[in-house]
Amino acid sequence: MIILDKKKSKIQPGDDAKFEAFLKKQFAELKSELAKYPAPAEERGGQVIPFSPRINSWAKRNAKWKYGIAAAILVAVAVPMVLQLNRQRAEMANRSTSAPALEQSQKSGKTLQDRVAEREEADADATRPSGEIQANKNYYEKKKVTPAKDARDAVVSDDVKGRRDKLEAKTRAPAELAAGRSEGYATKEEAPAPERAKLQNAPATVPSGGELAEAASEKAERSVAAGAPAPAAPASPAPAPVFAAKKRSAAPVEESEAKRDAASKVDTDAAPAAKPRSFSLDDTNAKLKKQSIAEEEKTEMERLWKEYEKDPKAFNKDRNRSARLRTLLARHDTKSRAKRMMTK
Amino acid sequence: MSLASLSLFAFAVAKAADFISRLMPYRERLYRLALAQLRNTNDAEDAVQEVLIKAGRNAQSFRSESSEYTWVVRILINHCHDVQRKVTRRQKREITGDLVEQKSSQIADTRASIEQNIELSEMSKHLMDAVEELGQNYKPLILMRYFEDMSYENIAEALKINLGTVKSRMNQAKTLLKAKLEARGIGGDYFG
Repeated sequence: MIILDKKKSKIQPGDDAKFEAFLKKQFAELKSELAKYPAPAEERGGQVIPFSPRINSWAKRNAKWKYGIAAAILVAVAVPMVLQLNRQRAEMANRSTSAPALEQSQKSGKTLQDRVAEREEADADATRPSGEIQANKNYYEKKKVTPAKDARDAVVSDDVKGRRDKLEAKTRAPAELAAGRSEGYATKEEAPAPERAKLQNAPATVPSGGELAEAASEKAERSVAAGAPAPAAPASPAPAPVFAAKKRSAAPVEESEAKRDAASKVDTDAAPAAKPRSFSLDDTNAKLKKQSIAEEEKTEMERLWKEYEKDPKAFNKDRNRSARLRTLLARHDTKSRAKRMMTK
Repeated sequence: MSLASLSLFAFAVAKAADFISRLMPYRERLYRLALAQLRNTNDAEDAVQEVLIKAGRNAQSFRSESSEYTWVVRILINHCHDVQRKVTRRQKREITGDLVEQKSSQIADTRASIEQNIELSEMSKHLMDAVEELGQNYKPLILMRYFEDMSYENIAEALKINLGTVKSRMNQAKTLLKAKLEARGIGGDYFG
């Protein structure tokens, strides 16, 4: 039961067979009544031009070919038009570019083939970075031939290049040797002959501390003179492990200081090539220097302050000294003294 | 206009012409449906013409999910509903006398169209009046089902609604129609 509207009248559901039959009967009657009124086109008097049937018959006959014919017409019109347009564009481009090119060739006296050859040579230049080379190489190879580095190489002088080559030659040999050692003694590629001979002829006994210190100082001096960095820990040729350990323990403090000095004087270009894994000595050196300078300044300040306390007027006459004292007082956090000096 | 857009336009025109030519055999049926709703031969003819043109224009949007005829039937029913609303509005204004005094030229047209009105039996008139009162939700369903003898599946495709929705709406439509016919005095004697 469905309740509809405001009156809430009870209505029977509409899916009963009798109502269905009634509807069908009534609509059939309606259709028969409407059949008395034919469509206007049929009822018209006079001579009707059968235009639409003709179109229909044409459409029926050519239904399969209709789109084909339309496409063929379009192609027949469009293709020559497009070709002509392209030809016109090419002509325009030739007109605009040919005159200056002719003048240029006449001035230079070179033929077109010569210029093309020059262009090809310029393109084939190895220094020019190209995407293909980069794409075919792995990361490390790419890094080697990055355009930035090439540009840097072009900029650096011959002197620096020579130094770098020497350094690379030095670092490469121990690195190769170390690689051979790390793989094991049974590797095919062993250390070079002179290195092998040195290692074989190495004394079995441990040298004394004094001898080691001398050797280290000599080595440091040599490295300073050559402008080469101290050999990096991992890349260094690892001699017999027992010998190395003893050498390290027996080395005096002087050796380390000498190494530090040598490292501070190393060329800046060579630094990335022989980058040590341990803590860099530059920072510690700078700190030590700062400390020593500060101590010197403090002693100077104390000295000047004493002089100032003895006779301020006479001290202030010398402007340089008084200014120096002021700066030193300001720098070393002795504000009370500075204030006193200012008030006096 | 570029060549591509010109070719597209040509293809669209060809497709529309093809679509209309395929609908031409159904013109008579469409005319009867329009006549049943509008009860005026001129209005029905105009409606069919306009609907065919509309269908031709929107042939690109026809997705072949339903048959062309069901698609056009739906358009025609909606169009006739709009026309009927306009006619009833005009008639109301004529009755109040607003339009009679102002636009005397339009009276002749109205009279002419009145002359084209068709004569139906009392029962058919009541039936169509009751169907008209069902509104836009139920009227197309009743006309499609009983006038066009369409199946529920075809109605669902034409109206783009679920089959279950069609069935439930049809049930509601019949219930409402029954109530409206009973209100007009056509009740138990006919289908009680």
